[in-house]
Amino acid sequence: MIRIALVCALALSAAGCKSHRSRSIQNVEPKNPQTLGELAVPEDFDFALTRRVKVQVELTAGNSAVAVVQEPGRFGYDPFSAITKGVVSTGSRFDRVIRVDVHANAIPVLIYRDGAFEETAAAIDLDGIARAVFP
Amino acid sequence: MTLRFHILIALFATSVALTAQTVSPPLFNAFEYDDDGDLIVDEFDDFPADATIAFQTHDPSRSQLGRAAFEIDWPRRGDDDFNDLVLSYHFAENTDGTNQVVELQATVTVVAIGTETSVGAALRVSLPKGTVVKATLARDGGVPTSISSEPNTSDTIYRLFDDALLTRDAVPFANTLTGDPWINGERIELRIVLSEPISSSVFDLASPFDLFVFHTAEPGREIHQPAALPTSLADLDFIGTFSDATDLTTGRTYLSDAGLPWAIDIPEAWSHPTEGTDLATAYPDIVDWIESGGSAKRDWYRHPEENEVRP
Repeated sequence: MIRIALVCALALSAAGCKSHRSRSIQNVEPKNPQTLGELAVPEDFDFALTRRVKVQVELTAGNSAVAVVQEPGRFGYDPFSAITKGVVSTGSRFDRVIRVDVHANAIPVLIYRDGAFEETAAAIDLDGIARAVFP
Repeated sequence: MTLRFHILIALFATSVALTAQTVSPPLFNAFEYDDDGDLIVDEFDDFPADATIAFQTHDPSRSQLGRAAFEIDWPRRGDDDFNDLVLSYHFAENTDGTNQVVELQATVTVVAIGTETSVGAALRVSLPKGTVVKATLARDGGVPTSISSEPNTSDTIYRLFDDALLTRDAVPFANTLTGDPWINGERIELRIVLSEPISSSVFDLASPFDLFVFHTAEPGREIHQPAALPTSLADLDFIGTFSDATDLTTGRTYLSDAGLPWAIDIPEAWSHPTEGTDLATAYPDIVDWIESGGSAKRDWYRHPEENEVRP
């Protein structure tokens, strides 16, 4: 009886150790040649990879339209690249804030009006506003 | 109502001044469809069968899920492997045919749990109190259940889960140890329906969403992305202790005295470092990116050392 108990205890112990080893951080050795902590981070360095930009779409004349704002670099209408959409009409601007790569400097803006697309690249100004004006 | 009738309505609507809306719907061509009758042609209507919603604004994008990766030892420095809790996310603002926000959606999935410590995740939504009439939470595509925002706070905060280790199939060091089978973590969908449509301008340039984590045993020990402010439920006694150099007066928050964060936000799918692997080891380009002040190796997060990350 004692022998059986000992065998069971050893088996359970081995199973436990194996289970623990497969889930333990203790066996993991960092292999770093350089760590984040060793870096000289510039003062006020911003770790953000994206920023929020306000897109403004205006019509100066003509019929109302659907405005489509796409991911930077994705010109030509692509529904899977559309970040936002809305309705714009003369005298009523379409405003929407979107998130883009921090280094993006222009945003593709399309309108669909009278059965056709019109497109422009709205440059992002220093205030973080990308303005697209369609005549 | 028939399709033809919808089109006639749309044509009529665009020919008269609409007093209840600030924008006029676009004209339809006779061959275009508007199944739900919201005056937005189906080709551009993200919800063609729902007349109350027309468009969806995506964060980070329609085609990509973002990744939020946290080090949970804050305010102490940890091992900088940024895998203690890794979450994928997609946020959306849903607007109606007049560009008004009618609901917000957040989908968050547990990607990795590189710790044995219990931590939870929550979402702060920048809405004034009282504008929410209904919020629901669904797990893994299940039946949505009503959820209330956290009580006793001026912030609108929804807890997504109290302990990542109690989410479905979760184990300590899930998806952070090399060679272990991949676990598909729990997916949480939060839907917030507003009591009445609001202008998206209330959000201005700030995101309406702030995804953060907290220690289950010390919920006031919140860990946010840099530049985010702690919520009103945070225990401010942690601020400025150990390595944390948060300055609430300047808004320079959740950065260490050496300028390092405890959370990073990647706007696309991302392979997080394996257990104990420093981020700079897993992604060597980050060294140039940081030391150049952000001008070099801008896409450092797309170039891992393959043996140092979990895909």
